Amino acid sequence: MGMVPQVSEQLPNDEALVSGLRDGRTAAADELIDRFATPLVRYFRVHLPDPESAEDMAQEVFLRLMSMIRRGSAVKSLYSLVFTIARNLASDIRKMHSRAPRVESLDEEFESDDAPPGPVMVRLAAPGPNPRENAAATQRNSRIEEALRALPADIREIVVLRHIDGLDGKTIAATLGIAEGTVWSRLGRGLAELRKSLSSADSGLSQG
Amino acid sequence: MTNPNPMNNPVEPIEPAVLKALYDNPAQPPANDATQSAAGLRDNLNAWANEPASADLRGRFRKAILLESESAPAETSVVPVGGTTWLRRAGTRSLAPVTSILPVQAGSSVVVPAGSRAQIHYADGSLLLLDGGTELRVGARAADGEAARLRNGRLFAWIAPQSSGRFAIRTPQGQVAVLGTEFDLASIAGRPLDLLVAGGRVRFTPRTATAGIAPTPTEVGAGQWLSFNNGHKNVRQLNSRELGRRTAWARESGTGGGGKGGWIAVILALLIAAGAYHLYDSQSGSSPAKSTTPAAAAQSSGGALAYPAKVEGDTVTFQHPTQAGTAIRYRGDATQQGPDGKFVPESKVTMEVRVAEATPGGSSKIEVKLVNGDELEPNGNAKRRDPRGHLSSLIGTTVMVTSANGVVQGAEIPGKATINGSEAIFLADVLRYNLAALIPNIPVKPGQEWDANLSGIIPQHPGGKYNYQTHLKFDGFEGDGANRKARIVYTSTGNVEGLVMLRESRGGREFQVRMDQRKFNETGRILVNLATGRIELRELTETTTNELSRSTMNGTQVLQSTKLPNGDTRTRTVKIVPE
Repeated sequence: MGMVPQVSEQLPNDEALVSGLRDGRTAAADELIDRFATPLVRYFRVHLPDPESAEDMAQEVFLRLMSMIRRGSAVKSLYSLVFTIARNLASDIRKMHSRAPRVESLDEEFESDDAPPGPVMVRLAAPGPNPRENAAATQRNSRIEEALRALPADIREIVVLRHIDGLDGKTIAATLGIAEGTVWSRLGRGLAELRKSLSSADSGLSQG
Repeated sequence: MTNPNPMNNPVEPIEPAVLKALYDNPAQPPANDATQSAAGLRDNLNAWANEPASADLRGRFRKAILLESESAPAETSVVPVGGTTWLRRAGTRSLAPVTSILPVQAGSSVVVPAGSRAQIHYADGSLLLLDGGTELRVGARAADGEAARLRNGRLFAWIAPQSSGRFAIRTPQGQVAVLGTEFDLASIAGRPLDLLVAGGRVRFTPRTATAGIAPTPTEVGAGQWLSFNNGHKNVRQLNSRELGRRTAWARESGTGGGGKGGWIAVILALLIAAGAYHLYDSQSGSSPAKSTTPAAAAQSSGGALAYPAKVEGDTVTFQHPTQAGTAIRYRGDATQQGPDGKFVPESKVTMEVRVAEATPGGSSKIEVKLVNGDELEPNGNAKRRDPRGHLSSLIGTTVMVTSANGVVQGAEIPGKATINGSEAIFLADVLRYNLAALIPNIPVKPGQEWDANLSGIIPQHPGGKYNYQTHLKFDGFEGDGANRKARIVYTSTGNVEGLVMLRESRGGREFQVRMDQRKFNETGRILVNLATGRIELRELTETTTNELSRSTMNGTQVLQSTKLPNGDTRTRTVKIVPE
């Protein structure tokens, strides 16, 4: 099928990609985005208290990665490093979520008489060229993410490790310190829960 | 690929073995309705997880990545020193927590909630201490001299002397431009702007639009306090007592990170780069690397974590780990300046910091142990009493600092000492970068020599800088088999500039520990175990040429200039940021 990225099948030239990123090459940035943009956004959407911040946090991962690359940190596995940064960030956010300040005041710019300094402000994505298709895909994704977020943490972890991280059952078992049979039974439970919640969401939508 | 709608299928349990086969052999047709349904959901999840990002999102990410790549290295870092600090990047709406030192580009906003504090470090050594309830946006100094925009809140600034360019902070009421000074600035919504200059001079220029008045600059000198409200300004001179009272909050926090852990961090930091240290090989008690995340598991899939030196014949390429078992022993002496202005011996302390567990980019566990401390009162040999704890009573104890999933858990011995996360990470990173500055990461052969100059700021202390010049030589090999080691010998000289100060109270009197202008000479050798990659640094001799002060410290910002054995010169700035 080939849709699930395998950690053991690292795409070639991590070293070249890191070098390209250090040199500011557009092709390297595109390759980085190809590899990690979607998995990161998906990861954050099911792991953050506020899924709406998933894209911002994916960008934060890229920037922290770039910072490490620019200061010469050794990168043995780009995949490992990216998801380590992501996991650490998600963990920090979950722990500190209740203490997060409100952000409204940040938008109150007092310097209306001159241009903001520094980098050009990048605006959030606008709707794509096909709003209907986009809306359908967005709806499907939202339902999957909502269902995933509702799963018990230990089961959600396995579903995410399998589908976003692309780990096989044996590696998931080793990672979590559980038997491989437990991995498959929990994944089975997870799929059953997902089917149930997606089914009820579907009927709710149909009725609505 | 068939994607039967999972919503229309009954929920039936699937045997683990069947499910495993379903995932391991995706081409295998599902055996029944239940497995067909599971296969459909599997494929939907895969599609969800792998759906390409939209062009807009890709464009946004590309822009951010290339901007980070193309711009000058971030000259500014945010350092949380107490509580939680949050960062909003330019172009985003979400706040990301900052748990350790983090470089930031211009345009980023720093939010320090009430009860927390943070520092902003600039490349020239300037430092802003942000009080709780402060919002500040980092400016682009290179463009217009504007270092920050204080949206709301209070800060204390130690600004390094500006040889060129300006250092300015903008507030809603106006701009404060400085040339080497210390000042306290409060710009809180609904209140007058408060500017208190502790040293040097600053120029305050009201905004043009404020109350419709012309922007007449006002110079405010040392000891003066300016209050500005609705176009009306009032400047008056404060006496030293009032000045001290009004700036006490910053001075308490400015020396070592604030909070009750500050004093021990200062002591540790003072000892780190003093040259009065040696790494030792703590084979006993060293823990194997532990994989705690899938990423770490993948990264260490070849077995235990290792950064082995690459050996080809007699050529060795060294690498620079902070790995489990790596340890450093700090030994330092300090002098103290009493109320009479005289410097007297203050303490002799030996501490060990050992990386008990470490995964790159993952969790680490650091043990800090005070081996012994010979604490001296200015007029005798009585043990020191510190208001935040009794240092001498900590001898033999171990403070464990754990970094789990990137969140460092500070360790506290009630009533005695606390080390918070950023301080612990600082220790581990100083250890790593000290080594990285000395050992070339290119192939070298026995007999080759090189120079490494290491200089940087001391972020905890305004104006504090250190500078090392080290000459190294790959002296050859020793040992055999698993104990075969590469031997590097070195001579080093260095000094510290600026004031490094620690306030503390003893016997009801307040003292300042002052350590500056320390010069030292050191010779030593570094041993690298070629089988394990373990690095040992063993001090041979050290002499101190300044009797007044006998400690120095490292910073989180390092300028490396290394003349490599192949004749090339490598210069780079390293900002120590934990992975």
